[in-house]
Amino acid sequence: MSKIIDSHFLIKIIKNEASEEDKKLFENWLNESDENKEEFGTLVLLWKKVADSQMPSLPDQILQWEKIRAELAQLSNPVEEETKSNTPLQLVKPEHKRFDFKPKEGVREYAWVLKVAAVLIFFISIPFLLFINKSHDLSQQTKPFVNSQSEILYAVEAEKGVRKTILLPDESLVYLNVDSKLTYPEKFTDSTRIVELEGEAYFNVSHDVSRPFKVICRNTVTVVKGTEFNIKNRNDEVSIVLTKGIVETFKKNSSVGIELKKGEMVTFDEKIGFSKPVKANISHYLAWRKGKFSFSHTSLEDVMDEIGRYYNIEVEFRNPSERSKIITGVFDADSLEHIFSIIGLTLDIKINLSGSKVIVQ
Amino acid sequence: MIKIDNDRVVFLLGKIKEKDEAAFKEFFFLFQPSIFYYLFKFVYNRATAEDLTQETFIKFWLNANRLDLTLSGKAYLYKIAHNLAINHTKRSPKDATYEYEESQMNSHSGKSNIDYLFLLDDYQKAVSSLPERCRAVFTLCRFDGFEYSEIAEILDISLQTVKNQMSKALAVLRKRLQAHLN
Repeated sequence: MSKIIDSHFLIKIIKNEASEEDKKLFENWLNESDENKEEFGTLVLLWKKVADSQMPSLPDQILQWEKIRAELAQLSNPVEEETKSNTPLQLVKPEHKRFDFKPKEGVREYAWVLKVAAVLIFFISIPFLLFINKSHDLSQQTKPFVNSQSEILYAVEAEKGVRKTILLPDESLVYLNVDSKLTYPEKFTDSTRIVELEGEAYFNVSHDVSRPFKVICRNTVTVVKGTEFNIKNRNDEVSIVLTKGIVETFKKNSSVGIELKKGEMVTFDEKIGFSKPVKANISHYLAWRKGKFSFSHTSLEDVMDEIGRYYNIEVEFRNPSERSKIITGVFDADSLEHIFSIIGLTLDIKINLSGSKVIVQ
Repeated sequence: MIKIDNDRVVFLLGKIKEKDEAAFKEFFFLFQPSIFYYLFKFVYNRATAEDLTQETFIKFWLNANRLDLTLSGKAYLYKIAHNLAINHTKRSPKDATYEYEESQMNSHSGKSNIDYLFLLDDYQKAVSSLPERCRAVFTLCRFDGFEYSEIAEILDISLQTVKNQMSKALAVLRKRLQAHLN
């Protein structure tokens, strides 16, 4: 019991890095006094709030990658390499190393990998992309199939609990949220780029005026030339939120479109059709890209549905009347216990995790 | 827990050490967002943060064959980014303060392009008010998920200094944000 409970200790608790023993210690300390509860509460609030701030938009990844590649290509210019012979300024490793792979070196590199692995085990909080699914070497990820028009198509599926990033043949990037699926052709035609979405994805479309980019989602078609936007379909509703440029959205087989401008959103309901475009709270709709859940007057049922999708867990409501309770707030997606404790405290309910099942009571 | 493919990152680092460009591309797409936001917290200028992000990855690639045995690839990447940020703020100290961006904002009145200029809220201002090393420790711990021992390696300081700076950061933030935290 000689351990000091200071802010460092509490941060470990918040970051979920504490041992079971320390968690016990923490619980006892918390229950000791109201001051302790207040101190911890303030720290949690501070910890949460500093991260809720909106940050500037990210530089375009594809453009930036092109710049890096161009610069590196210049650096690896052989003339320059000769003048700086002993510096590590080389883009391509000398050929002989590739073939001259001595067993000894192999063992050493393996040891290095193991060490890195040991360190990396701690990095479970990277809220970003899980892995890039490159269209160039799809063989390892997705099997192509042929549709009725005898086009070769790929379908990339992000299961529950997994997110994927897809680089399309035209260098557009698609960030696929959990429990979602994107179907796209091996090659786009000369006149259009058509993909089909189930679930939710953020699109960063490479600019090409001559080939409009079309996303089919349920009964909607969204047409763009080069821009960034989010499409989400859960249950019967499709929502489209635009962060850059201009897009036009159509009902399938209809020629009357709705034009969306930067910062606007529109929803489509199978029964009602399109809503009017309205100003959208972008950070709310794009929270998932930053590893966050953002809820605004959302029913507990929908909240648990979304969390369940993300963590691939099943949800059971012991008392059906809890389903309609309302939640508003932004949560870090990386700590399930934390989310449940806050929701539990707010709504005065108990949320328990047992195995891969959550019980709300 | 959501599956972060750590095996994939380890695999990529191994490939990058062998100068595999495709692996480097994937690594860039993975870590560009966090590096950009880390740098932004030091230069508070979108264009500068973008340039430094680029420079960070170029340096990382050029030095990939020196990837340390004791430092993880991610920590090494942050080490490069941090040094670039500090060098930049030494060269142009004006860039290091948020007030600079705000005064620029006024001279660009009428051109409220959020991509170019970005207004900080109270929380960001509080973080930006921390001294550089203190801000680095807090940022790495809070936003980039590093543990104290890793922060010590990235910043080349002792574990005790990390602890001291972290305590200082929390005390300052608490004071500055008092009104928001009640």
